[in-house]
Amino acid sequence: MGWEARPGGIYYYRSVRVDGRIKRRYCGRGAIAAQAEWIDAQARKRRDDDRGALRAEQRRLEPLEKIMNDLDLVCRRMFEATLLGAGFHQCMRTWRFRRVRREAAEN
Amino acid sequence: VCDAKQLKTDSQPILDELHELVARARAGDLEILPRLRAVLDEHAEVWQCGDIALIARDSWIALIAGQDLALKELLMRKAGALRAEVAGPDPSPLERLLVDRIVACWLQAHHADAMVAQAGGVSIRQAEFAGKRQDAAHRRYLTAIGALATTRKLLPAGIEARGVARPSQPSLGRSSGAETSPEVAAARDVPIAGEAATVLPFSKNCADEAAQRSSAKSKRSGARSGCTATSLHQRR
Repeated sequence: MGWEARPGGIYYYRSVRVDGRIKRRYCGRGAIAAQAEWIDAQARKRRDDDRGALRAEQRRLEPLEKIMNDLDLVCRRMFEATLLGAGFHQCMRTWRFRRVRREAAEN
Repeated sequence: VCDAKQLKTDSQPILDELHELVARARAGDLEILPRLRAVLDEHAEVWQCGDIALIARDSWIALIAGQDLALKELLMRKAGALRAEVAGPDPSPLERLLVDRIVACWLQAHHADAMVAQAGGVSIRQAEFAGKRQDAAHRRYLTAIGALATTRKLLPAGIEARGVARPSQPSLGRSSGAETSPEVAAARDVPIAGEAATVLPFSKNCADEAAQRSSAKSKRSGARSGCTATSLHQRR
């Protein structure tokens, strides 16, 4: 995207995606081309700002997400360990008391 | 965050061993159950991992309140009241851990709600990010509540379950089958189904399913619209 030197002068071309393919569209030269370039620059700046704000927000929340993930892991392990130790087992996402071979489980 | 890392480092060997034992127990290896119970009884420090939940709670409060000390104080009090209300008078170590997790998830869910509500004039990507965070926070909140509900359903208060030591009892050890009370037998003989069981295991797909089932259930039952922390304690 930008200015291109062609026979006869320098012209401004805008790259656009059409059906998944990048195509170059002629925007002319002179004041009209300068206006098109300014519009493209503004749009690019807005996209960069949005992307930067999103990344900043993700970075701000990342430590807390990490703590919450650790907490989930610890809770899951302790929860399963407690129920398994108490003689339960999980069958089809349902916790049931293990009645089979109860004597073996208690030894 | 540093404290959380330190806690994780200190308890990591025990947690890793616990993870192995749980994996073998889930595979049906009954021979390791005594070792599993011994780890739970002997290593009290693994239950101190609940401090991670307290760190999470304080971190969320600091993030939400920012420089507003009054809001920080209010949130601390609200979180403390919620914790006391859900935990009840005599929570087991596992219940305490799960209650602390519920409080942290409650703060996260409300923070996510506030972010979505206040997202004015943001880009589509930022709005999508906020929406996804809100969904994930609510799923995590429901999962935490479901885990506590399952614990209380399977291991009701006042019933001594093997491997679950209450604060007044340093180590319960194992009770034999003959010592099992009728209450325990009744509680254990009933296959656990319904809302409490839908949240396990904690994989993403199952968490999604739990959230969907929970929302469907709340639509069907107006009286039980959502499994709130308050209703948990009342049902107990």
